[in-house]
Amino acid sequence: MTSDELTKALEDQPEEGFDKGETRAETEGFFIFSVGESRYALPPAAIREIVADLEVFPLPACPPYVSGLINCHGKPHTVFDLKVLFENERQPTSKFLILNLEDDDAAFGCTEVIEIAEVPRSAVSAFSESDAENRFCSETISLEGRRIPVLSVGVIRRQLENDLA
Amino acid sequence: MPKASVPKVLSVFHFDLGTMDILLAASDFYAAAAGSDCRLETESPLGPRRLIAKGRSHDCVLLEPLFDRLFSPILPADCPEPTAFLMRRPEGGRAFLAARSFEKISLPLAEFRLFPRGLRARLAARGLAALRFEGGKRMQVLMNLGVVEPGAGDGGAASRSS
Repeated sequence: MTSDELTKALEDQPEEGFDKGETRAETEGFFIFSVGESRYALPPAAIREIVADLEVFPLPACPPYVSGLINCHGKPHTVFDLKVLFENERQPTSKFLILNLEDDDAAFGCTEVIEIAEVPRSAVSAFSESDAENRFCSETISLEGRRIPVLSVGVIRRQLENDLA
Repeated sequence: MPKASVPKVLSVFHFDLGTMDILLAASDFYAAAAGSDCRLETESPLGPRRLIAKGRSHDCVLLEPLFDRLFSPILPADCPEPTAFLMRRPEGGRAFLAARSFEKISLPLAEFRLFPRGLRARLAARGLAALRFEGGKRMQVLMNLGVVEPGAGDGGAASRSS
């Protein structure tokens, strides 16, 4: 395809872009889990593994939302306590979502794995930038009458970077 | 010039703090001295302490307050006879006074791990260099005391950078 042909093809597409009309899925998958009473969502690709019943080893000089380290297959992983991050309360957890990160080893503590839900795109909405309470979330989904925040792993990691700087 | 081969084991001083262990690499120190052969001096009530050992004066860090600050709660110190570990540094010798019993052991180098990348710099600045999971269940922290500066008042525990 020449650039002229590409330009022509793009001009023939609806406004949202070249292939969105044809290939954009009607639904999106989300991994739903709970920490205490609160529910959160993550893109399934953000999670590499779920492990359970590991001891959390506390660490000095870390922000309160870092509950410590777990030993996952012999490798230390930073454990985030999301309850502290969102509600400033500790929530001991027995399950851990090992995050799929290229440059670090980290996990979110988790009380219960709920489901992987296929959510219609119409049920996914962005947070407004002024929504300070949900600054660690990228969007929200409506599922069975509940609004569930979708966590932004990148923003949470940046918060840690800033707090340790 | 041929590369020096990496040893397969690390010789460490092992301190049991109760819920976890501290390891100090034996090669970080050039000597150890019994507390009875040392004299602890303070230039002012709030100033850092100096330890006179083997005829030399060293800035001194008391390890118990350091351990307690980093890893509290810890088992009480159990050793009536302290030991001074002496470290050679370009800017002057440093002594670390341990009031806790310890043993010298060798551990497989391959079992040591760095801390997760996101925490590594912060922990390293406080002297936490690496770790090992003993039997997979117990955390052992290898400390690099070279970054720990004697603090005013408590005889130690201030790190070089905050």
